[in-house]
Amino acid sequence: MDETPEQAEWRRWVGDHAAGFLLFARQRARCEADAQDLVQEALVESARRQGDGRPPPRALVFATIRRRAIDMARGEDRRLGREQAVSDAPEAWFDSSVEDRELARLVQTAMNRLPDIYREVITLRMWGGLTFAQIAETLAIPANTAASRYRYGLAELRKLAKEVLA
Amino acid sequence: MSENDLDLIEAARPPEDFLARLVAASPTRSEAGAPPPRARHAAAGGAVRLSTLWRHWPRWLIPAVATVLLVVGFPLLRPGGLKPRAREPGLAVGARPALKADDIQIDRQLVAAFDAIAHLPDGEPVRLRCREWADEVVMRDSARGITIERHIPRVEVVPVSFETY
Repeated sequence: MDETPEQAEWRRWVGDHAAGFLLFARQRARCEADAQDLVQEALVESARRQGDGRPPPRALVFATIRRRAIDMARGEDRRLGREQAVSDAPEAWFDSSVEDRELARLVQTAMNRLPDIYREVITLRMWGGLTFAQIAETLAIPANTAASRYRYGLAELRKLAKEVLA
Repeated sequence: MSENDLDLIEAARPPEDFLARLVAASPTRSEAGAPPPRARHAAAGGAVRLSTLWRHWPRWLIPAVATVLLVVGFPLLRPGGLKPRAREPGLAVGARPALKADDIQIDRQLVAAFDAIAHLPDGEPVRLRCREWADEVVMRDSARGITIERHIPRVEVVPVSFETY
């Protein structure tokens, strides 16, 4: 069956941005299956809100993933499960070439230890491709706060990376 | 570690089957009648227009009927009546209903409370503490716009001996 132009556009859009969505979800979910569920449900919900068949704004998708992840983590059993899952870090968060493999591992370990408020801003900026204005919209914070969290987060990430290497 | 270092690494590419599910979740595909993609926990339905509702009815009618039967029948079979229960963490994936209720409210209202006096065959008086409750369960699947409400009256009678009262 031939794809319509809208379906082809959706396929391209998914291919371009799914990795960033899943990375963001993996950092908030207790396991890989939950992360994939979060992304899938957020995409469907965001597309429905958009209402015209076109891909929704990425900031809306990230915000929906975040809201659903918070809902999912509310239960005590889920909280404990998530902490366990995050500490285990079963899924590789990043792709990298052979020479960057150690760097990717180092970044994942340091990102794992980074407080949520910094980690989500760095992830949205570096791998979500959002501007500070879009990050502010996603997290419901002022844009200046998003920018400062990014700076502080990078500094904290450097510190954590040194600790990991030491 | 700097921004340049972070630029060197990219987010891991999602699994192909997961990408296929996301592609299938396209709103245009969902409206064309393609089967909705399924995640582990629930079916994620796309938007359904009223004009095409008749083509989609088997998707929601069957799980809706099953859920209604579950909601109506399960509290009646339980000896403890309607009480909020914690989610069972070990529930098998296949046993989860296709209808995903993302908002469940379980409540009860005290309608009336009164004491009554009865006498045992030997003449000993017994006080009965009576309470009339209205149990209420509301389940919503906001993705599909389905709301299920159930109101059940319940009478609670607790005998209280005069000696211990």
